[in-house]
Amino acid sequence: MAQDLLSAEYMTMIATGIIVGTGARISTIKEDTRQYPSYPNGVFINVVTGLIAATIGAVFPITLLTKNFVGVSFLMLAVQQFRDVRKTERESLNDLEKTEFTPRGSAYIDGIAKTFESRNYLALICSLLSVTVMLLVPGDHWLLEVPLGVVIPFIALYLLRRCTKGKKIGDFTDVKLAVIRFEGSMLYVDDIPVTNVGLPEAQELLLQEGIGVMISPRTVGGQVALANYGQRQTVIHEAARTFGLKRYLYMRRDFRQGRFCFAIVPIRRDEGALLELVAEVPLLESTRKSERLRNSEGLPPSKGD
Amino acid sequence: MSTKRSRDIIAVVTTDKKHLAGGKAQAFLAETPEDCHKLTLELARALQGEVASLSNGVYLILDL
Repeated sequence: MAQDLLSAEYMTMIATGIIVGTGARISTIKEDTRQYPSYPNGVFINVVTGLIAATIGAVFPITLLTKNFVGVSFLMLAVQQFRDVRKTERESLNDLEKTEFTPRGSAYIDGIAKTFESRNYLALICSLLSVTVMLLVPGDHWLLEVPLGVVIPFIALYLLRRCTKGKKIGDFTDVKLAVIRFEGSMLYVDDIPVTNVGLPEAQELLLQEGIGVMISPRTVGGQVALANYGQRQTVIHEAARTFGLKRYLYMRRDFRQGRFCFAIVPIRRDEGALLELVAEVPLLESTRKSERLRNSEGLPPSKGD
Repeated sequence: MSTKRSRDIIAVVTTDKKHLAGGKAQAFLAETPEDCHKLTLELARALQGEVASLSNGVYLILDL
């Protein structure tokens, strides 16, 4: 049996599976300024856990072939392992909360950690699929097996990515620049009173360098999503972290129309990019509700608009 | 990270004693409105707080 396992055919399968799975994980690591793993070590850690996931997935069908049903327990081990990935991710982000001026918020952290876990499963599924496809091809034609074992998992990956892909703030809201002004010591962003800024020095800074952003949801569902504090925290966190916070960040939700606005004095001043960034902020999974169940006819009629 | 979303008053600065009705916040009395403003600025710097001004001329220093 051991001889069989080491045969060139199986080796090709396992190697292809591992490469495909790792490739799948790498392709899902978004490396930009917004996404969380944007630094070399973070990326490396994730590629390696992806590699391990891919290895488990690649070896699994072959262990079954050798009637080694204990192999199933490895999957359980893998699941445990990935849940640990989620836990460590959450812990490390939670530890960092104290050092952030605008915290990520637990809702965002939960979303990030969940995504990490699910991406690992993606690597596992891809390599498992790759090896299974190669095993199903009768005979030993590696010229046929390898391309199939590469293409089919990537099609599956594409489909899975489409299913698990979240929405963005820009998908259900209008993000616009807003005017910052003062009435006495009350700071207004457009027509929403945001906060009391007492010192004339601070008012001047806000008037000169501040940017106001107004986010108005187009649908009732959008209002529901923006009513979630974690979702709003995510928006201002991303704004503050990407553009740098010189001073002051105030946000307020207008409960009448469900709008949400914030004023910020950023270090890097680029209004267009800020609007784009806000529109790109993900809609958190914890805030998201099923469209089917969120049928607007089931909601009570709106009053007093 | 605390889940609290409201803020506390750390200090109160005013020129008129009648506005100071007690409470846990430290109160400061200034001679003139200019003095009041200056004092508020200094206190806000020292306490790393943020300033809110009320319509009756009282300055509040809130924690961040």
